[in-house]
Amino acid sequence: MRKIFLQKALAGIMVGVMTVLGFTGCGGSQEKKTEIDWSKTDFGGAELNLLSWEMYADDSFVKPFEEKYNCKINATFCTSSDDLIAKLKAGGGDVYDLVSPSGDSAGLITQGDLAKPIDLEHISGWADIPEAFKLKDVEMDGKIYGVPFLWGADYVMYNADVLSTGITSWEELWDAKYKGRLALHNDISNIYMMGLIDGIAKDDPQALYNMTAEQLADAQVKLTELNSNVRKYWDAGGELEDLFKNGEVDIAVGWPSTLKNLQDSGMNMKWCIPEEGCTGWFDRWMIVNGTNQEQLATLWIDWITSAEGEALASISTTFSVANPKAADYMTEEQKKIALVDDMDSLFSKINFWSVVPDREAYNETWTAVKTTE
Amino acid sequence: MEKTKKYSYGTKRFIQFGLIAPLVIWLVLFLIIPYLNLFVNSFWTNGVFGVQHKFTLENYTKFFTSGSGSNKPIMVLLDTLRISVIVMICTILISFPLVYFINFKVKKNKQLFYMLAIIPLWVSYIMRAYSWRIILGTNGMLNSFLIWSGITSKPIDAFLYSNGSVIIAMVHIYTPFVLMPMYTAMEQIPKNLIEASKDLGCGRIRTFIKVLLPLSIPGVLTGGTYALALSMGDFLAPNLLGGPTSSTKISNIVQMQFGTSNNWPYGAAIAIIIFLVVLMIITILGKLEKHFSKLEEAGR
Repeated sequence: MRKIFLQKALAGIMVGVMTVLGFTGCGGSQEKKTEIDWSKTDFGGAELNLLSWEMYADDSFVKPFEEKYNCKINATFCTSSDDLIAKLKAGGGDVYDLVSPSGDSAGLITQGDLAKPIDLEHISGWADIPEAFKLKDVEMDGKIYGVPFLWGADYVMYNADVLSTGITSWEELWDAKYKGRLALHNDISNIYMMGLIDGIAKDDPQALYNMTAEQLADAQVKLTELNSNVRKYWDAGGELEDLFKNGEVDIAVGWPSTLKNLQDSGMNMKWCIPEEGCTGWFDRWMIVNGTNQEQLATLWIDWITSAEGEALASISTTFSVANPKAADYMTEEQKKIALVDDMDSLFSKINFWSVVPDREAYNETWTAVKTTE
Repeated sequence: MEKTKKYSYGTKRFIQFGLIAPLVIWLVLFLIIPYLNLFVNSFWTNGVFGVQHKFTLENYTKFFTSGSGSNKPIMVLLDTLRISVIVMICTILISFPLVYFINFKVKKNKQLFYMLAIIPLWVSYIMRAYSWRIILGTNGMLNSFLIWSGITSKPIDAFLYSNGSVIIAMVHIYTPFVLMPMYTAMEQIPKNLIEASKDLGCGRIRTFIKVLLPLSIPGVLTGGTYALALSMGDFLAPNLLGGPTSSTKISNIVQMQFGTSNNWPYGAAIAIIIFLVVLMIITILGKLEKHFSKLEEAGR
């Protein structure tokens, strides 16, 4: 009797194992081609799921869309490009309909067949976006997989009550006077920054994303030395805000949106771009392969990259716009904050994140920096 | 003796099966299958967009060969073990006197004191970890107090975002887990043994060392095992309270493999290695516990 019971239990376990292992093997669904009615404005409360940066689902530009199309927007936020890829890989079209990757992952998403080509006929702002912004990494077989949205710099921000001036060179961050007063993003973009400081990108901007083993080793040494000045590697913009508010740090590398929130809360915060320039990101909206809300997703991209959508997004985040016509919807003050009239000078100072072919080597270098005593 | 109702052999089996089935299903679904899945995954090859089902041992060799000095994964594991042992010792040192006090010194409302000691369990993990940021921060309560009382003139940075703050938070969070088994064990020590010891002329201290301490060791070991195993697997406390070089423990490396680094097979391999190390430690502690339990039984 006991033997039979054991046999049954074992059989049960095997079936269970097969089922679980089977899950990892299958996936992907057949596409259905049906006539789409583009004049439709009532989606009956359909849900649209965004996988995006934490400031890309603000009510100011989400609400008008939800009202216009009678739908509901849910957002999942990511803390870094790697986090975005990990979540997209784990969820795919079953969980997310839209994704807003930066330049270091958009190409991977395109090449990895994780996105769908976008029907540009229904993206009204496409013609207004300057050609220079239509980066080629989201183009495959003549089709476009991503529409430019917002961009900005990973610049230096500082508490102007503590530091009278910003820094003119990145090298100043190693100064002993900043001991334990610095916060950096918990992300491999710090490695790009080291390459920039070492001047390896002078002839070829892409060199930052194709660093040799030697250059990575140099970056590791430099970052390890910087550890003694670092108070905390922040994961989310909100965490960086807290670090400034609680007086834990005086200077940081971070996003314009964090600076704006801190200024709004009454802190005397300023920003600067050191003479070596800085790295930055250009975010694109992409439709996730396997979504069953393709039409609504296309309409979202249409809205958010239109002059009005971009203006609202830029006002809420202070990021720079891809669609210059957004200026029509912004006040002089808002245009100044987002540098809308001075886009070229900012654009030229930024080395935009790009796909890192050997991402594993960068990740390992980054882990090594954080585990060196 | 009470007369028990007679069931037929089949019915008896059926009832036994019914009683054990939920537990078996639970263990199979949430313990055995996940571990098997992890184990199988640890031998696959990692591709850019997903796991390739090609057998390899590389994930295991990588663990022992990659990196240099303190950033070798094996060194991170040892560092994590060191921190976990410190947490274990601290939780035991805090729990022991407390349990002793509740058990032998409190005459009335014993349960109330016990509840007070384990109340921290009612507060969410994140809250407890975050609250240490408020206490230990540069402008936090501790620094404010030290400056107010004139002990220091400048806030002390080292309190927060260091190994120290990680240890403090983990000790705080895991103390109730250590306290509970310890309390149960000490509660079961027959009071007459202590009286006998005193009757035979032992003083307080000798009674404590010769009678009470050996008898409470099984509870101490069970509690210590909890603290050790839980802190080995904790990645939130280091992440929230660790500094630039103290926020990456072995579980954080596993978490990174399943998240940012996108290398599930390697993450699975490290998880299996941690599992084996912890299993080994638990087995040793379990053996010790049995050894001391025997003493206890002999004492009865």
